Amino acid sequence: MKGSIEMKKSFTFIVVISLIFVIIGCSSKSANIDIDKLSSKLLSDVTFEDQLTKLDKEHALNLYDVKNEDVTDAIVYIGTGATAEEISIWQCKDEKSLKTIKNKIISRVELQKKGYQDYKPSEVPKLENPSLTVKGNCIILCICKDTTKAQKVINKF
Amino acid sequence: MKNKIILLLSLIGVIGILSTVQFIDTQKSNLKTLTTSTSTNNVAKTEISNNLSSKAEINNDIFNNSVFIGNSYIETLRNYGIIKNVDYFSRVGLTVKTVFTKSTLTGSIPIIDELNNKQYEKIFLLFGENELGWEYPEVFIKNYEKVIDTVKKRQPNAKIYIQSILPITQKESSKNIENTNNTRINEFNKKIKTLCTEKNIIYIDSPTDLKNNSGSLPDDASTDGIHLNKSYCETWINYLKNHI
Repeated sequence: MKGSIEMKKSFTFIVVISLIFVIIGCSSKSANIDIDKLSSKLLSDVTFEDQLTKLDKEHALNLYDVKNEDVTDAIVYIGTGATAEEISIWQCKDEKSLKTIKNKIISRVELQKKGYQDYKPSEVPKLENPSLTVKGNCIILCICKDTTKAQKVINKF
Repeated sequence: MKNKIILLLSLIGVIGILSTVQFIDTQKSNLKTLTTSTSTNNVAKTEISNNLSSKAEINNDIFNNSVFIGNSYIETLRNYGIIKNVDYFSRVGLTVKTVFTKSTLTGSIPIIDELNNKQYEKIFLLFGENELGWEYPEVFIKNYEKVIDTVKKRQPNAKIYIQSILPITQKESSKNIENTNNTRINEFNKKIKTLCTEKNIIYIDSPTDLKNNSGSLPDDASTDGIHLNKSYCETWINYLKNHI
């Protein structure tokens, strides 16, 4: 009887420990994305009409009005002005930073829409339907014609 | 039966432990990568920033206390970050008329009124590409004159530079969309040059490096035949530095 109780305790112990390990193990799918690889993949797999240029981080922060302390890394590619095409990927410090940066991105898209509306209305659909994705602490914007393709590339990361 | 259950649970436990070990390893490796990349980035950033600051000191000091005002060419120049020590008041599609009514995308007052806030040493203006479709070039010049007079009034001590309308590619010129062609650009530029002489301000001609043998923008300079990519934008700015 005593042996049976000890056996039950052992079962419970093993079950609890196993569950803890399994839960921790499952959460090992880290949300850290290699943003260099992702930007390269977007550039190679998605068709852009414009020639995109990579900005240095300081200038990317200025363009999006983002504070350096909110990001661990950022990659921004912009077009020549011929189109509104753009890639911007932000590795945010935490959830709060992510919310702030998401709002900055939305504001930037809205401003661009305002600018292109009377200049090149043909660019507006790209700005009305951008690919905007949150993955863990990473937020990814891709403004292009083939949003579906961009989204597929992003989803694979 | 109990033995089987123990075996099964032990198996789950082992899988859990392995997953956890892998998780810890991943975290360690991520941390290591992050630390390495941060330190590498710091070194790289320092080098870049050193290069940039020395470059800025040598090359871009000439633009200290300057402002660039104009259309998408200026907007793109700002976006590329080629000159960082200046102010930009620009907007895609801006014309010599709308500079009196439209704000920058982040601003709230007409672009011309931005000149009320600070006194500059040098003011660079670039307009004209969006006005090529206007029926009468004289209307463009009359409005440009109004812009210059307003700038002079608000910035009496500033040197004013007018950048000519930059050339477009032969292909784009042939399309002649809304009268946007190199012949029309040259016609407008002649009138701008005359206006600059009359107003006693500096006219900056288009850089020779932005023109091929036929006087058009080289094909590799632009994706739409009009807007400059970063490399050609740098060529333009280098030319500008040597002509001010």
